Amino acid sequence: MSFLRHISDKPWIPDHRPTVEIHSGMATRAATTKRGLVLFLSVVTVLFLLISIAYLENTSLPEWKPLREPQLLWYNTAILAFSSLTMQYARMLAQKDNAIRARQLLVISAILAVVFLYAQVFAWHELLQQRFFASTNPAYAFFYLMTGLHGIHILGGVSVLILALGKISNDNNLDAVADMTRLCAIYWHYLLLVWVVLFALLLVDNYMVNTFWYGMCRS
Amino acid sequence: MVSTNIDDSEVGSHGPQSFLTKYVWSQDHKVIAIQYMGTATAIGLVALVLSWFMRLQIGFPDTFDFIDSSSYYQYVTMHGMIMVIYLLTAFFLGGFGNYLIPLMIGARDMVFPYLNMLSYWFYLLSVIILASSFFVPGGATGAGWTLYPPQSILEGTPGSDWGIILMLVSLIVFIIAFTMGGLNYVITVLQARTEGMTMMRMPLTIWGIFVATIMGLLAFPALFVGGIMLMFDKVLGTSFFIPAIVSMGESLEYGGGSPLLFQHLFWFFGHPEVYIVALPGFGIVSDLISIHARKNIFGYRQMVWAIVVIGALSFIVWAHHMYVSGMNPYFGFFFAVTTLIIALPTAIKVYNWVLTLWRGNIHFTLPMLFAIAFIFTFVVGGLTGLFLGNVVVDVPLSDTYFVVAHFHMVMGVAPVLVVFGAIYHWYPKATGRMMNQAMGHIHFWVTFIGTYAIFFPMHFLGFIGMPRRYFSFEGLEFIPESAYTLNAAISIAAFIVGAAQMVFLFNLFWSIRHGKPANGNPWRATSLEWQTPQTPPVHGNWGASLPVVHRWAYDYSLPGVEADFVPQNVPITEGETNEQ
Amino acid sequence: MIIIAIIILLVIFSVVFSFMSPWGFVPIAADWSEIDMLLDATLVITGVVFAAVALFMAYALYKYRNRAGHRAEFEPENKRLELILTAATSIGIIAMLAPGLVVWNKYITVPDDAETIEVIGQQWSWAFRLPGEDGRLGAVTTQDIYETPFGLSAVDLAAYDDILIDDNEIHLLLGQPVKMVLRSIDVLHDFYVPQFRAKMDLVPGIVTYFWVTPTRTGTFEIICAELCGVGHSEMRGYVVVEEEGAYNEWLAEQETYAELAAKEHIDSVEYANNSE
Repeated sequence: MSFLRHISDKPWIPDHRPTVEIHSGMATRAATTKRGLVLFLSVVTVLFLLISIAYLENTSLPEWKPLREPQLLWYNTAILAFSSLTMQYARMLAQKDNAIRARQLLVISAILAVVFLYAQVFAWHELLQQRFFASTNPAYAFFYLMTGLHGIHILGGVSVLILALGKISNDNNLDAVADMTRLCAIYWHYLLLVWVVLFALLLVDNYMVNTFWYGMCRS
Repeated sequence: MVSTNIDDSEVGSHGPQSFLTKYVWSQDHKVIAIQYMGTATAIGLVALVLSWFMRLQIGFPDTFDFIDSSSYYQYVTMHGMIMVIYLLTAFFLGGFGNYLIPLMIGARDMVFPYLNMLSYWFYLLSVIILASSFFVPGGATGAGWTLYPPQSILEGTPGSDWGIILMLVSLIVFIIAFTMGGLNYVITVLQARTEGMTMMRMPLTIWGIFVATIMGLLAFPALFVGGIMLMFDKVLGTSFFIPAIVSMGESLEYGGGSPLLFQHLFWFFGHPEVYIVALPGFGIVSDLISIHARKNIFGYRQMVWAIVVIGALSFIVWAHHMYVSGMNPYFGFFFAVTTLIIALPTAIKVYNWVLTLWRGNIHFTLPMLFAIAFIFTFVVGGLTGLFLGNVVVDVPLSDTYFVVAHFHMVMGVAPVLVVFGAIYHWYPKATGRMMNQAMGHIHFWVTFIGTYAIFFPMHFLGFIGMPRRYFSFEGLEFIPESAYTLNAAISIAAFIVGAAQMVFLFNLFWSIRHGKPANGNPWRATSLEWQTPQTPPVHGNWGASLPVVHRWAYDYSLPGVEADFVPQNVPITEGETNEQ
Repeated sequence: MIIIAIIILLVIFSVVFSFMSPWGFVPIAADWSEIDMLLDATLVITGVVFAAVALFMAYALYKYRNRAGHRAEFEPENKRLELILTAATSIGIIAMLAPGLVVWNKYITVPDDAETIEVIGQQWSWAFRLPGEDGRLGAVTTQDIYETPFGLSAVDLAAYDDILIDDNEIHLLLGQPVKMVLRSIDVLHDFYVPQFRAKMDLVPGIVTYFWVTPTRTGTFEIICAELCGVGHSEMRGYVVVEEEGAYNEWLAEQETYAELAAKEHIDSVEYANNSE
C-alpha cells in the first residue's frame, strides 16, 4: 500500500536526498493521458453501476414485468466484440511499429463500431414497431436508457478516434500512433465489457435477483 | 519522452497574443479560473436577489404583490440550486482549483488545457440554460432544489413544463463541464507536480481541492443518472420514479416506478456535494490560518488523513437526508452511525485550526479575520449537524427552519466566508495590488455578524416546528406571534448582509486600479504560487525553468532561522533538522 | 483585537438567547418525551463544546496576537494531544448516539396494542380511514379513486366496514397508541403534528408508517412538511385528542363504506327517478 506509506510521511523533517530522488517531477505525456482515460472510465463505471443498481432495485417492485429477450442483440454483441478484436490487433501492430496496418485496423474498428450503433438503432426500431415504447413499462425504459447511454459512449469514442486518425494520418511518429492505439483499445474493451454486463443484466431471469433485493430493500 | 509540462521554449516567446485568444478563447488556467469566478459571481448575484425576494415574503407576508405562491417556490428552488452548484461548486473547483493547482504544485498549466477551456464554455452554457428557464412559459421550476418526483414533473408545481426540463438539461451540461474540468485537476495533481513536490509537501488547499474533485467525479454521475431518468419520465412518459398516481383530478399513465429511488440517487450525489464544497474550504482555511499566524499548520498529517477519511465516508452517509422519507426504517441505524462517525475527522480539523493559532504570531489581516469567522460559523453549523444526524432527534426537526439554519451555516455561510478570505488573500497575486482595507473591514463585519444574526435565531424557529418551504404561515396557531417579528428582523438582517456584498464587488473592481501596489509575496508565504518570477504570473507561470521544491509548505518561524518563513523552493541547509 | 471581543459577545449572546428566547418547543402532546430529552441533552453538550472552542480560540487570539518581539513556535504535531481530543470527542458522540439509537428503535417498533389509522394525502388535503370492526383495512387502488370512495375495492369484503373520513379532521383517543399508516395518491407529503414530535413522509406507491400515543387532550394542527406543490403551505388539518366519551360520540357519526355506498345507491336511484 504505497498510498498509505506516502501519507504517513513526516514532511516537516528535512530530506537531504537530492530532490530528483524524492520526486522527479517527470511524467510522460502518454502516462498522463492514460491516467486521464482510466480516471474517466472510473467515472463512467460509477454511472453504469448506478444505473444497474437502479435497474435491480426496480426489478424488486411488485409491478415489474421483465423484458422480452431481443434476439437481435446477440448479433450486435458479436459485432462489438469483433470491433474490439480488430482494435486489439491494431494495438499489437502499432507496438510492432507497423503504423500503416495499424491505422487501417483502427479504421475497420471504427466502422464496426458504427455498424454496431446502426444495429442497436435497428433493434430499437424493431421494438418500437412492435409498440414496445419506453413508456410501456420500466423494463423497456431501462432498456432504452442503458442502450442509449452506452451508444452515446461508443459514438463519443468513434468521434475521438476519427479526430485522432485525422491528426496522425500523415504522421510518421510511431510513438504517437502506438500511444493513441493503446488508449483507443482500452476504451473499446471497456465499452465491450460494459455492454456485456448490461446485456447480461437485461437477460437475467429476474427471479433470483428479485428475492435477494426484495429482502434487502423492502421492509 | 514528452514532458507533461509545456516545453520551456514555448514560454514567453509565442504565448497567446490577440485579446481574443488571451482573454476569451484562452487555455491558460489563470484566465479560465477568472472566467469561472466571474460567471459564478454573476449567477450568484441572481441567487442573492432571489433570497431577498424570499425574505420579503417571509418577513413581510402579503405586502408584495409580485410574490405569489408559485414565484416564491421558484425563488426557493433557483436560489438553492444556483448557490450550491453554479456558485459554490464552480467557484471552489473551477475558480480556485484552476487558479491555484498549477501555481501551487509548480506546473506550467493544467495537463489538458484544451479540455480545461471546453470545461469553462460548457459551464457557461449550463448557466445560460439555467438562466433562460426564468423566461420560458410557466417559468423556472419550483420543485425545490431536490427536484423530488413525482412533484417536480407534475402540474401543481410551478415550472413543471419547461422549467424542469431546462433545469435538468442545465444540470447535465454542468456535469459534463465539471467532469472535463475535474479530470484535469486530478490528473494535474497526480502527474504535473514539479521536482521535489511529493504529495505530502502539497499545501492543504491542494489536498482539499484534489479530494473534493475526486468526490465530485464519483458523485455527479448519480445526479446525471437521476437527471436523465427524470427527464425521460417527463418527456417520454417512462415510469422510473413514478408509481401509479392521480394528479389534478385524473389518473395518469404512469406506473411501476419508485420515488424513493430518485431520492437515493439524489443524495448519493447530494451528500458528497456538501463536502465537495466544504473540503476546498477546509484546505484553504488551513493555509490562511497558518500563513497569517506565521505558524506551521498543526497536525498536517492528521489534516490530510481527515480530508481523505471525510471524502471516503461521505459516500456512505447519504440517507441521513432521508430518515423520514419512508425508506426502510432500519437503514436509520446504519446511517446515523456513519454520520456521527464523520463528525470525528471534522472535529479533528477544527481542533487543529485552533491549535494552529495557539502559540502562533497572529496577524489580524482580512484573510485571517475571514478564517476566524469561518471557524466560528463552521463550529455552530457542524454542531447542529449532530442534532440532524442523530436519527431520532432529526424526526421533529427535519423539514423545519432548523435544517435551513443548519445547512446555511455549515455549507452556505462558512464556505462563502472562505471564498472571501481567499479572494482577499490571493487578490495581490492575481492583480499585483492589495484590496482596499477599509472597504474590506466593512464587508467583513457586516457579513460575519449579519449572517450570524440571520441564521442563529433561525434554529429556534425550527424548534417551534416552523416548516421550511412555506409560502405562508397564516392561520397556524402553534406559531407564536413573536416568531413573525423574528422573521421580519431576520429579513432586515438579510437585506443588510446582501447590500454589504455590493461593497465587496465595488472593492474588487476599484482595487484593480487604485489598490495599494503589492510585491510578489505580500504575506510572506512559503507556498510556490508566491514565488513566481512575475506578479501577476504570466502564461507558463515560471519563466525559464520550473521551481524545485525542497521542503513542505509550512516552514514558518523555523527555529534558528531569522526570517519567519522559508519558501518551499529554498534548499535545505546542511545539518538542518526539525525533529521535535 | 475587535474580533476577540465580538467572539466573546457572540458566545454570551448565543447562550443567553438559548435560555431566554421565547421560541422553543411547543408543549408536547404525545408519548415522545424521550425525543425532547435527547434534544435537550444534545443542545447542552453541543452548547458546551461550542462555548469551549470559541472561547479557547478567543483566548488564543488574544494571547498570541502579533506584537513587537513575539514569534510563533514551530510545532508540527502532537500525537498525544490529538489522541486525547479524538477520544474525548468519540465519547461525546457515543453519549449522544447510543440513546438516540435506542429511541429510534422504539420509534420504528409499533406496540401490539396500537390501533391502525390510515392517512391519505393528496394535493392539498388530508383524508383518513379507520379499519372498522374487523380491524383490517380493505384493499385500495389509487387509480380507482374517482370510481369508488378512496379507490376502495368493491370485491374486498374487508373494505365494507372501513370508516371513511373525507375531511381534514381526525379524532384520536387519549392514551391509545395509534399506528398511522400513510399513503399518498399523487406526490410526496409529510404528516407532521408539531406537538406529537413525530413525522413521516407519505410516498405514492408505498405505504409508510409511524406511531404515537396522544397524552394530552386538545386540537392540534396537522401540517404538510414535504414540499408538495404550490398549495404546500395550505395543506393543513386537525387532530383532535379526546377522552373516551367524546371520541366514541364522534366515531358513531362517521360513515362506513357500506353506509356510504348504500346512500349513494339511494341517491342515484332518486336521481334516476327524478330525471324520469
